[in-house]
Amino acid sequence: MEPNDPEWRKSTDAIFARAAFVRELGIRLVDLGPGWVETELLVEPRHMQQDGVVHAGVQATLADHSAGAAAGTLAPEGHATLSVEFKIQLLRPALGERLRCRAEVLRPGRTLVATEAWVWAVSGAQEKLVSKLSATMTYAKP
Amino acid sequence: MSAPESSFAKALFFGVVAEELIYPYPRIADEALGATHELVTRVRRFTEAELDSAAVDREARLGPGTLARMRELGLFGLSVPQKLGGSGLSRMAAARVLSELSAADASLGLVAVAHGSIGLSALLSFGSEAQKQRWVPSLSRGEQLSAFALTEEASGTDAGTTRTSAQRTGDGWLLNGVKPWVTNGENADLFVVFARTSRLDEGQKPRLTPFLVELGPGVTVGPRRETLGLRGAGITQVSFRDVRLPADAALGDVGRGFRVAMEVMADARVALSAWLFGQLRALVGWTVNRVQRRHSFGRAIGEFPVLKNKIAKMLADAYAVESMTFLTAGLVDRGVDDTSLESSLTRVAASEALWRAANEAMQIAGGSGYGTSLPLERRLRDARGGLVVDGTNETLRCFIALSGLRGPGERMGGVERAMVEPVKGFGLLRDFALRKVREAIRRERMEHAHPLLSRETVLFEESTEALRRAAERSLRDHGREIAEMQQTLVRIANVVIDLYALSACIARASAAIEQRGESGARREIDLTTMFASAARGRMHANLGRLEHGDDALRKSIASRAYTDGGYPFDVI
Repeated sequence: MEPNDPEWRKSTDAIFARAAFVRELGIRLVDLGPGWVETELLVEPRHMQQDGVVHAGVQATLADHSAGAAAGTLAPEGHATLSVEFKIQLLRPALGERLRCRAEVLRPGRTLVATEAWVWAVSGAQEKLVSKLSATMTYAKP
Repeated sequence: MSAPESSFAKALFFGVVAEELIYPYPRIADEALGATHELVTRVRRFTEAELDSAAVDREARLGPGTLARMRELGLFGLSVPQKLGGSGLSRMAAARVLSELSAADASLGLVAVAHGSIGLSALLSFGSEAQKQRWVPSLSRGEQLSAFALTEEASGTDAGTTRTSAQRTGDGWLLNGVKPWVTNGENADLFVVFARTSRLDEGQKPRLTPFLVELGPGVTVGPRRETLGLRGAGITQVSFRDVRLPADAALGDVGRGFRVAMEVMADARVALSAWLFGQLRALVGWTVNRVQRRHSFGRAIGEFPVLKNKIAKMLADAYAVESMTFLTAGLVDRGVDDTSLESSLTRVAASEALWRAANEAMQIAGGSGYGTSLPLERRLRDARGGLVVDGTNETLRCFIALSGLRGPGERMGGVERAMVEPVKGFGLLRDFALRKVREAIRRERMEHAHPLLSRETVLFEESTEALRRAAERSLRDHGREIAEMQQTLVRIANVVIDLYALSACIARASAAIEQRGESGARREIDLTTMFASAARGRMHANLGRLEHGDDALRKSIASRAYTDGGYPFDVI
């Protein structure tokens, strides 16, 4: 997959840096390439639901925003990337000191982009897949 | 603000990100900016109008009147308080001025450092009130100059082999010995001379004491040392023959000179880094100018991608070195009590960045760079001195790693004695250690970094955690033998150097983004990104080889070469 914006790395950095809610949660971009990103979240008490596991909403935000950023790496210059729909499977309770997410573009369409994202919970050297998201993104001129 | 204790770099060995020490990235105080700028401008006018750097090199001496002009400009007591006769600059401001002087001529810069940041600085840190009153005003004004006489023929760094001796007489001391490498020795009126004040016993470490020795009977300056570069820095032998010294000539406590030498040199490395950075900046400027003027195949050579890559590397190196240098100077200004590690690793990084730049600049100039009509061969010769000036980079790397490992080593117990001394200020580190234990295996965050630099920040955090694990593993595997595992120490030092550089770039670029916004700070962001991506590869390689190196193979190859007496093959 080829980026369509010469400044695609900077644009993708900004997708994270400018999203106040995402920053507020502590989600950060770790690495990226054309059509993919890796992100992470260091788990804190404020991310938990009532039973002491990471809230599904946090996981959904992490996965969705990362999937959007993966699509964003291929966005045409001057276009924003928006989620159209997504589905998330919560596979097991998210327990760990950090969540790692990888999101990839499955098929880069001109208007609709099929993406997937995986979220792992990391404890020490152990990683467990805790959720998986499928999402459709679109590009729009702001 | 109360003085924060301990060291950012030492905390990294615990996996602790003591970001309160480096944020906000320090800046020269607003009220001092004007005066600093003015002094920098005056230094530039002086060097541009009056200084013939090629002649300094060719004739191996400063031109007539040069020292007097430096004196007028107040370059000999830059960070000495005004009431003591100095210019009263902060360490950051002083570093900026030194870098300007050094950009014009490395010898001049080194003379200023050898006097102000080493000789005079030793007196300021360790002198008695009487000694200070007697010497500091005239030294700060540059009416008299000082030099540090530590190194001996037998060894540069191993102070244990010092043969120069001071024997007690009825009312003072009798000093005898030879110091073959005294920088600024030709210009100096006052020498800080390290002598053993204990008997010369085989295998016994001597007790060292520094003495304040004036030019006078028994003190012989010369012969001058012919050197590759830095030829105007007055590097000379100084001999002392039956020099009678009063009882109060000793600097600091008798027998505690090793500590004085270590602390003065660690502190001087801030100024040495500024000295190196000045030279680096000058080379970058020269090269950027050159590639735009030289044409080949119908376009400026600077348009070729291979050359653009070289220029970008020089800029990223320069940005990292400048960020480290001024961060470290800022730590001193903030009153952080232990910056020995930060200053040492900045000096290593600065000297190597300068050497790479000098080498690349010469390469970019092609064949003509090798000739003497361009200033590059002179700058390259000067730059080479930076790798050995106050100890070799290999020695410094071992010092960096052992100093840093000492904290975790004490926690693990049983290896303290393997660590080199003297390293102070572990009080807070124990707290860091506890904090780390409390937070178990969780990675520490650098919260103050700007979100636009999140990839670089995560790299820094992950690598800090990897350093902690590497430090623990090395200490566990080697125990007190760690001091002998020099290749491991070098790799650990390399990682810490990259981590400190990266944190300095991130902190500085974050401040730039906050002040000027994303587009205003574009250059800083890009240079930080570029530096981080190079550092990622280096850190990965260093941490990966910590365990799987072929060190044993290399050792045996070298040992066989010693037996063979050189290269053992010949095709005939």
